[in-house]
Amino acid sequence: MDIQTIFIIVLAVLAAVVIYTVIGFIPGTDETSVLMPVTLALVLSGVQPIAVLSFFIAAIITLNITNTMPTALVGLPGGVLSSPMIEHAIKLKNQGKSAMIIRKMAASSLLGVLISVPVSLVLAQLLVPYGRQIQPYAPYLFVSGAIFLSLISKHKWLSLLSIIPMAILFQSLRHLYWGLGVVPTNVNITTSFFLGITIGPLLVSLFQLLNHQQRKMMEKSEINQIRIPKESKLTLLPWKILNKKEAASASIASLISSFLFVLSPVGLIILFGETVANRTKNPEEKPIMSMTTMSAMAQSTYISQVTIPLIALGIPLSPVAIGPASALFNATGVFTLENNIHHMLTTPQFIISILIASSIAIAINYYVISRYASRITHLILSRIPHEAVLGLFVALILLLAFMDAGIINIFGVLLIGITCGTLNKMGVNYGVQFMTLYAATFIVSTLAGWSM
Amino acid sequence: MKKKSTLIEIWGDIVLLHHLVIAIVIISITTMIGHLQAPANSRPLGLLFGLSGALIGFAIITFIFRPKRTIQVVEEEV
Repeated sequence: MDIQTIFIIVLAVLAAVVIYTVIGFIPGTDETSVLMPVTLALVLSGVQPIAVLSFFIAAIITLNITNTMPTALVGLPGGVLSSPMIEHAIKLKNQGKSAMIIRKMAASSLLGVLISVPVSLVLAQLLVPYGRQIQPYAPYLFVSGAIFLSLISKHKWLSLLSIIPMAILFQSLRHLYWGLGVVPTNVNITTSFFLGITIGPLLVSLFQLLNHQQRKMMEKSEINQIRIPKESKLTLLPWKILNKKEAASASIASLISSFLFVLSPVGLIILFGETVANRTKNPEEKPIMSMTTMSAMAQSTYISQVTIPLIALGIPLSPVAIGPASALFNATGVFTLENNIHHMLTTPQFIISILIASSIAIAINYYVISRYASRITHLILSRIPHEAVLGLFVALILLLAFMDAGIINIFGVLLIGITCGTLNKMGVNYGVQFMTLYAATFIVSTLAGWSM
Repeated sequence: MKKKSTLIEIWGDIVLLHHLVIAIVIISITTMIGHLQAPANSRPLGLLFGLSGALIGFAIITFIFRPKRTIQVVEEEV
């Protein structure tokens, strides 16, 4: 690899760190909706695959650490992964321990990256020989994935029963567009359907505003009162910030979760976070242990779920690969499941770019978070209105829907958003829905074969 | 419109209903205007122009509306 490539990697990493530090501090910025469109834009603009990968790795590391800051400081969820932390965060905040927990979370985040990057790279290498054999079975794997994620979810039957209807919904829209001649028959719309699923729950909430009775239930009499603690200037050495128990718990959770790369990150985080909390006897230590473990896992789950399927398989076989990272596997006109970053980069290129991206990103973030978290939160919360964030999400979905299949698809995606969003609120998680989207072609053609 | 000043809790935070409607409309318009400026048949440029439009809309809303929060900086005793 020459100096020029390394320079491009570093540039991509710095851009990702700056962009996603700002986004991460804004409460309510869902990971998938802010990662996927930007990554897709980079891929479509013809940016080198190695730079796209470095950008993405730096982006997830930055986002996963900065997202926890509004959570810890003011009790607003930064993103999906930080929502399980809210309860513990508010407890600690009321005890006046926010400044302490931020530093501990930054340190455990660092641990999460340090452990999961090498572990994922080794795991990926071990899986490479099986990758080629697995690829032809991708459709079966997506169907099994949807069934498997349903079975381990809280609402098994609801999830299982919703798989085929959702698959029919996706395919019926695709066939409608093909039949009407809106899109050519060799184009399989995925991106906008995917974002429709992601923003579905928000769309459902917005629709509820149009119903008087439901709107009454969402009304509030006062604006939010927010108290931000000042930061302290103490040591930056991670081993002085975390005690042995916290470091051990964060490390073990990062290690184990890297192996469980096919399971949903938020599901894993809830599972491990609660397990750790239940095993901690001392009520003072309970929220601290839980939060440090969860923030390490936010890193380890994302890192392993992007790197392992990307390096070893080339098909998006993990919740992160199929969700926020989907543009690395599949982007209309540039990447396909048969020719994507997996096929374009060599093993040394993967290893070098991932190592450079993760080390620069975590180093900058660790320092910035430990020193300036309070000040950045204050700035963002006092400037950025929540209305702008929600408006941005609606505009993003509008844009991608229009780009995929014109005006008719705006309403098609709205249909998907309301259907999947309602199912989501009832308990069918994103993992099941994304897997079904990828399995839809296979499910529906199999059903059609049986129906003739 | 007597409902003009309704505070609503949605997606984990509080918004003013009519500000929310204006935000959605303005950002959607700037996004689509941006998108339509791009040369036709260029998907990457269409997306880039659209995203830029979205950012411009986001900046406009951030500029004209205040967040519905009161913020206080407090000293923590350790």
